[in-house]
Amino acid sequence: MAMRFLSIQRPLLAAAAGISRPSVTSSLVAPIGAQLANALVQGRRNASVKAQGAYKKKSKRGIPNKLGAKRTGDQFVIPGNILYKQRGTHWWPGENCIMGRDHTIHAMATGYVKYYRDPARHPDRKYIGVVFNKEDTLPYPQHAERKRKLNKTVHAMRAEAAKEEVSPSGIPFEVTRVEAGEPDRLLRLRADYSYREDNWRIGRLVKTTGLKTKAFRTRKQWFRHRRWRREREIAGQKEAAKKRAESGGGGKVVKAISKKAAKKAAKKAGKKAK
Amino acid sequence: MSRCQAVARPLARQLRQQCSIRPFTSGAARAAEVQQQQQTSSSSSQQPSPLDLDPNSVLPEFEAPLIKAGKMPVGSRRRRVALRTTASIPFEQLPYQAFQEARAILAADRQEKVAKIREQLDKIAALEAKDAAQVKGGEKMKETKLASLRRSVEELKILADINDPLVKKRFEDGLGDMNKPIYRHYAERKWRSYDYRLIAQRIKQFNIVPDVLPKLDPLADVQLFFRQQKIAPGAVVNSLVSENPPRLRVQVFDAGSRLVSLVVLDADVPDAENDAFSKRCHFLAANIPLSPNDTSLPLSRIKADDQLAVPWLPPTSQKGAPYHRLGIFLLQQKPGVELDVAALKQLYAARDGFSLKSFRDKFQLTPVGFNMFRSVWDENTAAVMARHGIPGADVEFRPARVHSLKPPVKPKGWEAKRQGPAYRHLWKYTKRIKGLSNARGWTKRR
Repeated sequence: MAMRFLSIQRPLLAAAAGISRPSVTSSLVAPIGAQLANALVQGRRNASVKAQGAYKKKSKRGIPNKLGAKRTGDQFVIPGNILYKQRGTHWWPGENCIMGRDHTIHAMATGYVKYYRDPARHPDRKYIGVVFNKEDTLPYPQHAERKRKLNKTVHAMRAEAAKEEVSPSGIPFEVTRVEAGEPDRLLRLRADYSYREDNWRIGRLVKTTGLKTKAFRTRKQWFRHRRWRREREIAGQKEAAKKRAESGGGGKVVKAISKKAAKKAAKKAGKKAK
Repeated sequence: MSRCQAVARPLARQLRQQCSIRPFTSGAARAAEVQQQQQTSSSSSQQPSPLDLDPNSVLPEFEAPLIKAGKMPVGSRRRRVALRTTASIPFEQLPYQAFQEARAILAADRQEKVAKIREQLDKIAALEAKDAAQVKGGEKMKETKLASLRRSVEELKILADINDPLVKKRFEDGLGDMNKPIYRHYAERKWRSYDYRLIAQRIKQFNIVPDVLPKLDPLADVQLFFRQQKIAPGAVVNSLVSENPPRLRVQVFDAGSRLVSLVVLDADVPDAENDAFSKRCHFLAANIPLSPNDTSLPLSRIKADDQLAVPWLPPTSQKGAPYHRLGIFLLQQKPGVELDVAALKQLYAARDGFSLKSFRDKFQLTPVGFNMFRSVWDENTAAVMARHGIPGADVEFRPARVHSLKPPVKPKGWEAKRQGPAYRHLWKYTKRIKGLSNARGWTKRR
């Protein structure tokens, strides 16, 4: 099949070779022919043929992320304004700015936006800052005092609202339960007109009982304690046995053995004797 | 049975019986009883033993009378307890051969260093005696050489003693003589290992540089005590505690006596009119002598006319204002130069607007020590302000309202449209809707 294709194209090929490269040797001719053949196989469209409307097809668009600068240099901003949205840190927060969780730069003061570099802080980073005066330039001189604003207003101090003792229905908000030999309990009026102690106060009562709910903080500590206790017991028993032996209390102490163990020992002894 | 056995038998039985009658725990119990008795007697009568009168082995319960008598307990409590049961054998008699060999090597090294010091001292004497014209490089070169030689002598002095275990022990017991270079060297090394770093961190994180001074590198250890309690650098101190002036413990690490100025400065005084912060001087004293050996510097004791310029003002913070940074600055004066305290009194009597930078430049001082604490509004502040006539206890600061840049939006929706009197018949549906409106009108923003 391929052979036939080549044989059909041969006159055309020869002509093309003669026009473009008169000096090429005949050995190069064959590859060029192969290229042309490939183009035909892939279906290249010539300019003489009209396109069939594919250019009208829209590209598949996703939802835009709307990244980039949201405020330009010298623009007035208030705290919380978004200055720059980005993926990663193309820009860093400078004077009076902070960076959000998704690297968005926010203003933290009322003022004017400045885009700048600060080689003293970092050689490569670009910063966004907010200054109080539009004429100021960033970065500020390194050892100059920081420019700060109080951002507070003075008010007369609020008087604390007096707490009423009796509810509108004429019964007290709080009563104290006094019981001999027990700590006093403060009961408070609830929405359903019952008197009940606060839950957190009930919780505090545990401390007054002197109960110890947990002797050991961790499981490991408990096991270690048990091990040491057993060791102490064994050591004490040994010492007691020794003392008893010293005081001559009835010569050798016969160790209490279960019947089963005695039988086993006898059997073993019998075997050894054989 | 032999005769002697027969004689001895009742005796043995008697002995055995005695032993068998007594249960084996009784001995231990009796010992415990005796111990208890001893304890009760010692605790009830509080009779200090001779070991308790010795600062090297005093127990915690007998520390206070000893301190009152002017003898500070030595070392840690744990070590003191250990010393009670061990004999303090001098190093020469310790029976460890390798230890004694090592001591011999260290002693030889010390001899070498001492010889070197002598050599350098001879060189210094020769150079001093020489005429500057005969030295190559003239007067300047002679001075440089002398300074270099003296520096090397100081280094050798430290190197001569640095391997001496007794010197190290004395330093760790707090018995070192700070007039000697080796103890100052040890003290500085200890300070640099932690406290200096802490102070440097506070200077950085609280923006003392650049807010108060453009540059500050402490050279002396300054510790702060309020009511005998040590205050960590940067801690928030209750206004009742800081009502009385603190005591400082200042340790300088270079030899000799010098005069210092002491400034306590509040760097965060709110200035509501200008929407800014200003500074205030809380204490100013000058011409305070300091040397490595006297470390205690109680501010309440500085009263002399040629020292105290601005007396202590209790640090207070108004309600709602951000925390105040109270910096304690120690500035070294030029050697042999006394400041004119009367002039200082005139200059800084107003306290407000005090600039440490200009004070430093005007009197040619160098900052050498720093410590700080903080003050906030607390339950005692109002009383302290009333007692000392400080105004401002009746006002509070609230955050300034920041208004949105967006224009107001008219309320939208069916209800919003039908608020007017034309819809009077619908008001029962369109007014007083929870979250939207009340009797006074439309409340929902935007």
